[in-house]
Amino acid sequence: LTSDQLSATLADVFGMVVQVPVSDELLTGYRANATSAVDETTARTVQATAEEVASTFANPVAGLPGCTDDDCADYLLDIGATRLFRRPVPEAERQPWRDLFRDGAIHGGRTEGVRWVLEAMLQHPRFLYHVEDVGTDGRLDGYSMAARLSYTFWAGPPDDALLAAAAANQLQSPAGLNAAVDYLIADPKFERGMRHFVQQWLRLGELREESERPDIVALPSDVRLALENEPVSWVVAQVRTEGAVYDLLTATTGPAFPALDRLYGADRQATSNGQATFDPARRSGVLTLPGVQAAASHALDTSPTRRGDLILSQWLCAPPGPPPDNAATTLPPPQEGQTKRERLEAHFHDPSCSSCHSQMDGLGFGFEPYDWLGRSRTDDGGQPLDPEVSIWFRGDTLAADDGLGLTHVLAERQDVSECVARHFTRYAAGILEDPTATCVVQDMGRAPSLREMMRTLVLSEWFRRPAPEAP
Amino acid sequence: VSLTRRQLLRAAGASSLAAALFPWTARAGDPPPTRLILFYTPHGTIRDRWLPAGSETSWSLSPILKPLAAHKSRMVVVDGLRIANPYSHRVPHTYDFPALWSGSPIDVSTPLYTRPDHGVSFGWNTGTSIDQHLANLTNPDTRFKSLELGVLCGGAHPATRMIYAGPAAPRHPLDTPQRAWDQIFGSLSTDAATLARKRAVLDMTIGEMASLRGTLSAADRVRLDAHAESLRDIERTLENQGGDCEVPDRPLDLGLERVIDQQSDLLASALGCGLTRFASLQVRIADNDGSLYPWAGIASDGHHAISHVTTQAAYDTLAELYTWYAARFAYLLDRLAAWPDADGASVLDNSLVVWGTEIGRGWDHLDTDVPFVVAGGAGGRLRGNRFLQKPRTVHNRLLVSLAHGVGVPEVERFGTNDDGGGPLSGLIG
Repeated sequence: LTSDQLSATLADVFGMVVQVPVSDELLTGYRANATSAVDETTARTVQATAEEVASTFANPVAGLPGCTDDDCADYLLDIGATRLFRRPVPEAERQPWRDLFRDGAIHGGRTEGVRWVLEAMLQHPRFLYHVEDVGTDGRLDGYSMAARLSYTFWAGPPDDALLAAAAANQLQSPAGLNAAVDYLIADPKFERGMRHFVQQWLRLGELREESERPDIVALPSDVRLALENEPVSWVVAQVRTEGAVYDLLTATTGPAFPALDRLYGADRQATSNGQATFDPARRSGVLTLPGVQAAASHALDTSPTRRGDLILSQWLCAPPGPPPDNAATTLPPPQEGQTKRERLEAHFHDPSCSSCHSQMDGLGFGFEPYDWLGRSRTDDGGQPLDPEVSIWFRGDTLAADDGLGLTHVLAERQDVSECVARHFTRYAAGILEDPTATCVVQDMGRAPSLREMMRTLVLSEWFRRPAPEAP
Repeated sequence: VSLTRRQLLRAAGASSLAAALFPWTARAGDPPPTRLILFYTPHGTIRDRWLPAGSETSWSLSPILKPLAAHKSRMVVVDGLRIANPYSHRVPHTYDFPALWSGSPIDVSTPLYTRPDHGVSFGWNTGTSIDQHLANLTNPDTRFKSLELGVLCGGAHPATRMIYAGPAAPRHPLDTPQRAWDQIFGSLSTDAATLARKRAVLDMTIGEMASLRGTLSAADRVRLDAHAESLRDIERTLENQGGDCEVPDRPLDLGLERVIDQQSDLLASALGCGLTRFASLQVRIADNDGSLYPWAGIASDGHHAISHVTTQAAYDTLAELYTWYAARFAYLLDRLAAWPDADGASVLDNSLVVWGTEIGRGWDHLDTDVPFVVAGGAGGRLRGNRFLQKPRTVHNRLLVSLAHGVGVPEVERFGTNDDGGGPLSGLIG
């Protein structure tokens, strides 16, 4: 489990907000702990969290009617371990827990027994890892499937209903999985799951890099939060209202965030019933939201390179190669009458640079009508914006009048739809390129809506079988 | 905190009191052990502002190293080392960082993991870092086998981790003073009942891991075994509380300008109290340090971006940052010098402190002329006030010398990049 998944699991089971500051691997663009082992520092961090939670809950839990001196270990296994381990603990595995409770009780009564058992549960490998059990048909068993679903859609543990569906073998049939997908999407916890996905997919984490973005730090906290939350809410809303990738890229209405009113200015035309409507000549879809554009900027300056890279890597799945060894990434100072495009193009005229930069910058220039906080603007410090987009891509010309027009071009492309699907599978699997996922991604890319895209994933053999081995 | 203790020591001047303050040394019945501290700052240096002038024993500090003037008599500046790298520089910072203290290359045979922004595949490290190797060889009876502290070290990735217990086994730094304090000092006072509980829970967990183990794949077993080993490391040292030291106050969040020094304060306390012998302090990452350091000249673009610019103005800006780094390293040495050790010398006198970085210079990712500074008394093994010029020498020589510097002369090779030349001649002894 990642740091966020650990916190979410504790929040859902105990109703307690605890940060578990363990290091997450960041090998694939999506946080996952798939390759390296738990080191001493991580083990100590988990131990400290377990001690904190156990000491908070030992006394109240010991006072519950089900917790008797004779049966409390079993009571804790039934009400606690089932949720924490995401499956019931069978009789054959219960004796060590009873012994541990008894030893604790000898030291300090029932409360101490509860504390020892809770501490051990919260350091248990079935709590800390995604342990996947496989049935005789080679697919994940019901409980493992419930956990995979809940950590993908909710970034947290399965609830009682999902565990009950697992117990009733409903998560082994397409009908049961279909119902589960709709249940998962309707639940409020879906917003948490999408926050984890969208923040990483659209690189919104940049908004929290305080040492890099003093301009963002200086904003009021409700504006900072809204910058981050608006794109997430847009994705959630499109999934729930049967929107497709096309709608995500072209919608001009979405959940309203009044904290952003000043950033939007006249771009936001009206708000009713919690829905904001935008001027279609200024905003179009999730790519044009200020949070997305601000995250792909520098402090107090736009970055066509970062903005173009966002589109190439996260929407077209065509990341540029590494820069050459002698790359200089800081722009020379502007000269009289030079546009940002002229500066960048002069800077990257070297063919070893321009092969990638013509694509990244060429796409990114389209978004120059948005400044480093994502506000609309008509000039760049007195210089014209020059936002026309025209690049050579996958054997064809990718062209538009500006970024707004580009979102409509992207919205029609099958490779964009597939790329969104690929990113969602990367997020769901915690590994980068698994060749066996290619067919699933193609199927997902053809789905008529985002909801159906997710359903296609869940119903695929790829999702229902054990994760490919990390090397 | 330390002032009170120092006055106490001076007043008493008795080794019996020292033994009371430092039970861990009394137990061993030996002189204080030599500590090893690895200090890292990113992206090389500006060589012509860093390079001292003069000969080995008659030399003067460069502009960047000026803040270290007070420690000149116990430091050795080493110029000319290169970090050997058998693979072409597709992702230079990333490829060099795991090699910095391990002297072994990154794993390029594992293609599943990739930098999405570079389209290049690689795996984790292949070696063990020198501090971990020495901790394994000396197996000190301290509460922590080693302590890894850092500043903004980010998610785990070969470009963000420099300390490795083994291949693909990064040790994650505590990268805020608050986390560091919580782990080092937050759970120190333990009575018999607490110890019994911790031991019972750790035993239970290790036992449960053993039952789960049989159902796992070979790769997962390796990970779970390493996890169990981490728990055993904790269990083995449950009773070791270090010396009878006062616990420092939990640090406040003072921002990036002060945070390196705050970590140095904690590191010095932990080393002074005998809580560990092996420690490191990692400032930022070898990937893309985009942080701004306006108090040290970097007010826009970020450190990494500027490190790729070849103008005079960029060199000036970077030199100012590296001078600030030198002052941070000096502060760490100050703190270690302020802690009295059991033998009446200072902790710095009984330490080997090394400042390194992952490349020589930033703009073209040069991996030769990587700047190193070695400081501290190393228990009398390091003769200070010297400037060593070792052109084109593979830096595994230095890593072998670090082993000798902390009293482990049997290490003759270190890391798979080692060409077998032994220690760095003239550094130790």
